[in-house]
Amino acid sequence: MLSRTIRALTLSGLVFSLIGCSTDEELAQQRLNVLRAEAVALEALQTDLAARAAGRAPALEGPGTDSIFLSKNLINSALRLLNGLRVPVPNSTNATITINSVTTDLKLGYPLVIVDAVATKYDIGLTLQVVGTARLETEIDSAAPSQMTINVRLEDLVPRARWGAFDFKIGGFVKDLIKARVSNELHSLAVIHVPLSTDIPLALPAYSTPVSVRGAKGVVSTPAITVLGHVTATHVLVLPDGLHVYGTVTAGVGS
Amino acid sequence: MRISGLFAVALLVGCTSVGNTTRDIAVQEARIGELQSEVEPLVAPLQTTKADVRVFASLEPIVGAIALLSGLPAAQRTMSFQSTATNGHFYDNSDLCDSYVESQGPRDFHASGELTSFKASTEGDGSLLFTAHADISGHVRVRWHFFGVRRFDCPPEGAMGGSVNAAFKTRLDLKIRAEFAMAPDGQSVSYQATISEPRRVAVTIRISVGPFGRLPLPTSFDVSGGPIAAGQFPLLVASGGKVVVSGDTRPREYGLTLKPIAFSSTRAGLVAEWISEVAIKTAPSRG
Repeated sequence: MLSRTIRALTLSGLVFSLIGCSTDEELAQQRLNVLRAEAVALEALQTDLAARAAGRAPALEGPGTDSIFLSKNLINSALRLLNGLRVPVPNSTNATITINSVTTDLKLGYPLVIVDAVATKYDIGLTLQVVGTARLETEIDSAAPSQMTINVRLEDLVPRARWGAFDFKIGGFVKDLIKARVSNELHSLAVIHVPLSTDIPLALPAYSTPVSVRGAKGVVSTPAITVLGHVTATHVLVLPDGLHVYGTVTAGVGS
Repeated sequence: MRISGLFAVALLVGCTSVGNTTRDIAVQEARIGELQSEVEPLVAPLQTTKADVRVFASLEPIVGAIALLSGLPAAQRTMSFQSTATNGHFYDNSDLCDSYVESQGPRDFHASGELTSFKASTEGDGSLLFTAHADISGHVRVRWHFFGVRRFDCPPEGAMGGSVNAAFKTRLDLKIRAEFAMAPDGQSVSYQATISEPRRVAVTIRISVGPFGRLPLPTSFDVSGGPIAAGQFPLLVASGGKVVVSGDTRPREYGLTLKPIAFSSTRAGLVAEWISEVAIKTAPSRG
C-alpha cells in the first residue's frame, strides 16, 4: 500500500514536472514563416534573374542603366537608432517592450530583419526575452524630389518563455505579446527616407574668348550647350550584402 | 494515476508539440538550399564587398543625346568671330615701299558658322568627346595702300589704293573633351571641358588689289587648351534624409558621412564608392 502510494506520488511529481507550457512552438512557427517567405522570395528572384539573363527583361547593369547600392552595414547603422526604443504593449497594462537591437539578416531576395527585445510586465515583476522578425519594405517615389523609403515592418514578435501550466499571469502576458505585432504602434517600427538625386547636368555655357590675329583683335564665341541626364530608380534587389537599386538613365539636350 | 497521466499528456500536446513544424522547417531549408545554389551564381557579379554606398550611371544616353543638338535652331548652335579693334596691318611689304593692307574699321572683320554633325563618344579614359563640324563664312573690309616698287629708293610721292570687301570660307572641326573626377567635397562629381581641336585656326583671305591682282592674306590664331567650362553634380545619393521612428511625433534628420574610396570614369559610365556612417542630427520627440 505504502509502496503504491510512493509510486503514485513519484509519478505525479514527474508528471507535474513535465506539465508546462513554452513558446517553443511559436518560435518554431516564426522560423517556419521566415523560411517560407524566404523560399517565395528566392523563387521570385530566380524567375526575375532568369528572365533578364534570357533577354526577356532589361539587364540590370549595362548601357543606359544606373544603380545605387546601400550596404547592410549602412542600413544597420541607421537601424541602431531603434536601440533602446520602449513602446507599451498594446492591450496589456503596465507592460512595455524595449528594443535591444534591430539588425538586418538579408537573404537572397528576402530583406529579413531580426529584432532583439525584452518585454516587462511591471505589476508581476516579469521580464521576458522577445524575438522579433521584420522585413524591409522598399518603395521608390519617382516624383520630384525623388526618394526611396525603407519601412521596417514587424512580422512576428514571440517571447522566449517557459512557465507552469497553471501560471496564468505569465501565459496571459505571453498571449498579449504574441498579439502585439498587429498593433499600429509596432507594425511599422521605422521608416527611413533616402532622397535620391536624379539629374546629371552637363552645361557648357556660352563661351567667348579674345583672340588676336594679324590686323585685328576680336572675340570668338561658341554657343551654350546643355545636356541633361535624368536618372530613375525602378527596381530593388535584396542581396545578402545590401539593397541594390536599379534604374535607367535618359538624356535630352538644350541650349 | 491513469487519469492524471492522461491529463499530463493532454497538457504537453497542447503546449509544446513542435513535431510537424520541425518537419516543415526541414523541408523549407532543403528547398532554400536548392534555390540558393541556382541563384547565387547569377547574383555574384552584382555584389560589392567594400563599399557602403556605390553608384553607377551609364553615360551612353548622354552620348546618344548629343546628336539631338543638330536639331536645335541654327541661332543656338552658331559660333562666331567678331573683330573689336585693329591690330596693325594685315599685310606689310617693305619691298613695295612699305605698302600695306589694313582693316577699315574696328568691327570690319567677322565670321560665323553653324555647328552641325554633333556626335559624342566615350573614350578609353572615361572622358566624353563631343565633336561638331562648322562651315565658316566670313567677311572683311580692308583698305590697301600701294606706294610703288622699291628700286634704289621709293618714289617721292604718289600712291594708289582703295577699299576692298572680301569674303572667305573655311571649314572647322571642333572637338570638346569633358573629363570627370570626384569633386573635392568627396560627395559630388566634377567635370571640366576643354577644346582639344582645333589648336590653331588658320585662314587665307584673298583680296583683289586693283591692277595688281589677288593678294593672299594668311591669318591665324591659337586656341587655348584651358578649360572652357566646369561644373559639378551630386551622383544619385543625397548626403542626408529623414527617419520616422514609431512613437515619435516628428521625423528625425540623419546625415551620411561619405568617405570616398573609389571613383572611376570608364566607357561604361561613372562609378563612385564610399564608406559611410549614419549620424542622427535631431533628438527624439516622443508623443
